[in-house]
Amino acid sequence: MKRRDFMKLSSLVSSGMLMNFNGVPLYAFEGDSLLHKIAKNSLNDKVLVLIEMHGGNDGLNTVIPINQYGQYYNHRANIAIPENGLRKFITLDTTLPDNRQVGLHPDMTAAKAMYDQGNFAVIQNVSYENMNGSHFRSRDVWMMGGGYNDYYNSGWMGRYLDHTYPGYPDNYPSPQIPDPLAIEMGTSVSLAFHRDQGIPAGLSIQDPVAFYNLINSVGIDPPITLPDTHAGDEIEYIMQIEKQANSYAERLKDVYQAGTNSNVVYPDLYPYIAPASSKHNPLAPQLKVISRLLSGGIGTKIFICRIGGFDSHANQVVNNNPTMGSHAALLYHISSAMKAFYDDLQNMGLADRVLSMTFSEFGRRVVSNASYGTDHGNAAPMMVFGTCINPGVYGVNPDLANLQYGNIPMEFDYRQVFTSVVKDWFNAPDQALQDVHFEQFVDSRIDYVRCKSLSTSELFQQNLSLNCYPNPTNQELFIDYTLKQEVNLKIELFDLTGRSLGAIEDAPNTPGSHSVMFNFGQVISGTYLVRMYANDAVLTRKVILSKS
Amino acid sequence: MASLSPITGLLGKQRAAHLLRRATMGPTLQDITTFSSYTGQAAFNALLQNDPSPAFPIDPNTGTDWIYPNVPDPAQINDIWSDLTRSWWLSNIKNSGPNLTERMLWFYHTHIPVILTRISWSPQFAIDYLRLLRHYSLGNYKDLVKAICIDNAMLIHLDGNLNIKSVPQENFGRELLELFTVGKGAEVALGDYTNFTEQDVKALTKVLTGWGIDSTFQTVDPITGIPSGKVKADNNSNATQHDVTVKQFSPAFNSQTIQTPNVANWTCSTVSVQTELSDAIDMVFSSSHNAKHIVRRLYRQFVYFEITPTIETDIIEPLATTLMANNYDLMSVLEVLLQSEHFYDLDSPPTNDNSVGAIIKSPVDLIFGTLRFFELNGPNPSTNLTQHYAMYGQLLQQLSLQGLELFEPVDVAGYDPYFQVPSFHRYWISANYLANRYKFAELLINGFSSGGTSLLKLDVLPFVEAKAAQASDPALLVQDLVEWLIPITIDQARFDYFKDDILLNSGAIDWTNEWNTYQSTSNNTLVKAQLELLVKSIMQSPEYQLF
Repeated sequence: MKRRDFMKLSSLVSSGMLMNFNGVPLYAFEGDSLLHKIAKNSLNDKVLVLIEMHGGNDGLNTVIPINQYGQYYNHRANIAIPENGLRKFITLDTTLPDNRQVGLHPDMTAAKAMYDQGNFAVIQNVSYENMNGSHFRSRDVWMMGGGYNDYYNSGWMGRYLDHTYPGYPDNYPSPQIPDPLAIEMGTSVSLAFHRDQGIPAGLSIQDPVAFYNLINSVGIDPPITLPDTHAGDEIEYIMQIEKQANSYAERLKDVYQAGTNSNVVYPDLYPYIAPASSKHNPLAPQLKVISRLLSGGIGTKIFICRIGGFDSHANQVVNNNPTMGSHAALLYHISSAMKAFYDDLQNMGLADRVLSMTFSEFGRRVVSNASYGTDHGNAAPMMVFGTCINPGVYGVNPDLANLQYGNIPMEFDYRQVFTSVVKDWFNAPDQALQDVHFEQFVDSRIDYVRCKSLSTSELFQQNLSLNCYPNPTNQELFIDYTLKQEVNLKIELFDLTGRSLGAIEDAPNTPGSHSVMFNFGQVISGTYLVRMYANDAVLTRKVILSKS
Repeated sequence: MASLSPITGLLGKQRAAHLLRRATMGPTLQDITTFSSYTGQAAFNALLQNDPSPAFPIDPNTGTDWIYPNVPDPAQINDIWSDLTRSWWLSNIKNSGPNLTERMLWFYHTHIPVILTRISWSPQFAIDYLRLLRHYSLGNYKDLVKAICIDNAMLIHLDGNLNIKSVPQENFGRELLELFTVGKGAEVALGDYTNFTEQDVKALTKVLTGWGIDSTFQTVDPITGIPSGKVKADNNSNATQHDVTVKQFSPAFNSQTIQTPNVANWTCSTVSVQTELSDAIDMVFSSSHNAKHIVRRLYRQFVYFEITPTIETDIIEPLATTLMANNYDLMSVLEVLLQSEHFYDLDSPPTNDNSVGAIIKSPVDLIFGTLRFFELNGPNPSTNLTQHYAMYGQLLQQLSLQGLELFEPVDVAGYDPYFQVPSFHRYWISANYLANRYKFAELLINGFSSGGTSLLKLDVLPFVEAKAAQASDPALLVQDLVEWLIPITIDQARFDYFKDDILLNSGAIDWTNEWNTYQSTSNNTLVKAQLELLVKSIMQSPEYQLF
């Protein structure tokens, strides 16, 4: 495809020098006295990986309510995970109260290991009001971030990205934001990344190098003017996708090739009995690519992986062993792939930037059917993975004696879960939450994100303070700050586009009050931001440089 | 307003080309010429001229087909049969005449899909499913639905064969309402989707209990002559798994009840089960939601994906009335739609929602429309079966790279571009898919081959030599190619880009001189290269992705 638009960016990049700084590659431009870090993005460096369990996951065979095992067994004797024997469920945590005592499917040993390291959580009974029994409608609801009676043409992630990166697609990629805003592993882009208008904010890829080679081998100049017809609309859409592909293909290849995986072996085969079509791990290769892209310094905020095969109306277990079969294999694949992914990320020092979670359009009926399967149901657990989470079991075991039309009723709205991503993980401002349509879930969001930016009152409790003077200044800026405890500290200055002017070298990180000085040097007059990062807290002050 | 009034006069070339692109699997230049002298009605009549049923596919292991009374080769493996079946279907698409048959079969498949891997263990089931769609391709939608309910492939695909009175299995009943018939309306209360409710899913599921597959192919539908599933019954032909209780439907279906005829001792005859199924389908089809749902699907297939309130009022509703008045004969709708002012962007008064050239081609349309237009034939299956299948194997791979796993949709609702809001056909376009669509042009011109033997190749030069009005004149030549390949009128700048920048290589080439030299010396090196570049460039344009 034609690379006109890309030339601007690549010439800019090639005039500079690629450096590597604490595992994050930076572009440094020659002949510039300051280290001009091109910020990965303007807010924070947190990444979300979503795993879509396509078809409706049987939550009750994923997370077994131990305190109601008798009811559980009676409802689904032909597929129930046993409570005794070699392949009994795995008790997650004996210290939890009775109504949160859960067992994991016996093939989720990796998830149990992650829990024991503090890196796994379960959010029980997630759904939405008037759960829709249709795969398609329900998937749309989850993706669009609305209720049962909303019909948005955009997804919640698309709206978040639209808010955070205004002017998409015309203003991107930019030197500050060189990467796709979101990436869907595979070849198609789902509703999730659709914005209210125009092309989706996401890009789909499998192999970044093959993608680059393909994109660069085809295409002609696009038309300059378009007819005012539906055909013109479609041509414009195709042109925008083409431009998006051109813009990102080389960058993705470069990032991928600059990145690496550690020596972690990603899982492949399910070791027990399952149909041939379920044996291979479809998730692990996707996560391996994501890990390598992250190691190469990609600034993409959201990745989606999809794993299919959950629509288990029939034969979800093999008929002589309810602990094995297609559903068991899928749970094994997710659990083992996630463990490998986080081992890999931890080896490279990247794990704290990545939050992962599963979701599925709905759970399944509590009562199994005669064909060793389950029909469409309602609420189901979501699984959360990460080194920056509060591990645990959120919510209580469903009451299997009081079902709603044979289904598990909702305890949490799925938007309560996703609101924590937007607010706590991405540190999005209130306006973004409104644009995403999650504002009403802020107060009831679920507190599974451990590493989050703190509110002013919370910061006050931590005795953090930051004071910059004189303001306005004409050259030198003094930055005073107080720490209650020793922290990982960085103080960095940015312009309003997010471009870094540089960090303060050797700023003290010990408890007590400190003062450092920043010299604006050749920087031109304008408004700038001082940011202090203290562990997971961020304080920002606005300063004005006014050179007379 | 959008108008269903018929156009008058002869079609002429442009309208004939538009009609044939949408209603067939792609026209040749000869087809366009033929249809251009037809009136709208004569053209529609011609589109109803069915091809003879294609011969069954041949298994290269046995040299024969595997359709009963022939038996599948026990040494053959399921995946191979599946690919032979897909190849058979594609060769039918490739070879069909200028009529509606294969287009309607494609429409039905995208509307009532089956996932091939679920049925591949009995390789006749897939063939019978396609035969059934073909049987009703120009026919009655209600009859098709009655037959599809008990089709062996569908009974497996949506678990209908697991649905028994003691343990109802809702999978098929739900999708029958939600996808194939009335469709889902707004969810006005828990379990109430306006057009149907959860109660209806449960009641319909009961109606559908007790059917099983017949993998001996002894049960044959007397109307179609195609093997079907059968009622699970004892030796006295009494149904053993059918729920004979009264089925109470919701107000969405006027609170009707459906009853099994002639129940005795909590069972009934197999005939009663079939009668009851027919009664229930008649009830479902009496809902106007059903007619509107099907007409919207037709509209999206034949006109454009976006259905505005104006289109709903002016087009969908009247056509739904027509459909019901004609007892679900889909041709009654197409006869109006495909002759309408709206279809040809000739609404009076004029509207600004012109739809000619506004549908993004599916990968099937892109690849097979191209092969049909250039009249390309691969290896002859009767003399070279191996290479015939090798070619279709490569084309299946191309479809896959462009986002179509033929006969293998991810969803039971089918392929995303046919149902997924908000973008519908735009889901055919992702960065990967688009690049692979463009790549196909290059591959076709370079030629597909297997083991050093050419399988399929677009030789541009002889085609142009045979068809172009005056190939020595660069403007006339480009005009021909643009008209052949691009469904909309392009502006002068775009035309000049193809002529000046591409064909004439920014003025470096004196085309007329080169052409005349080629004619006198047979040295084709330069004109061949430039023509191939031009055709490849047009095929790698956004415009070529449309029809």
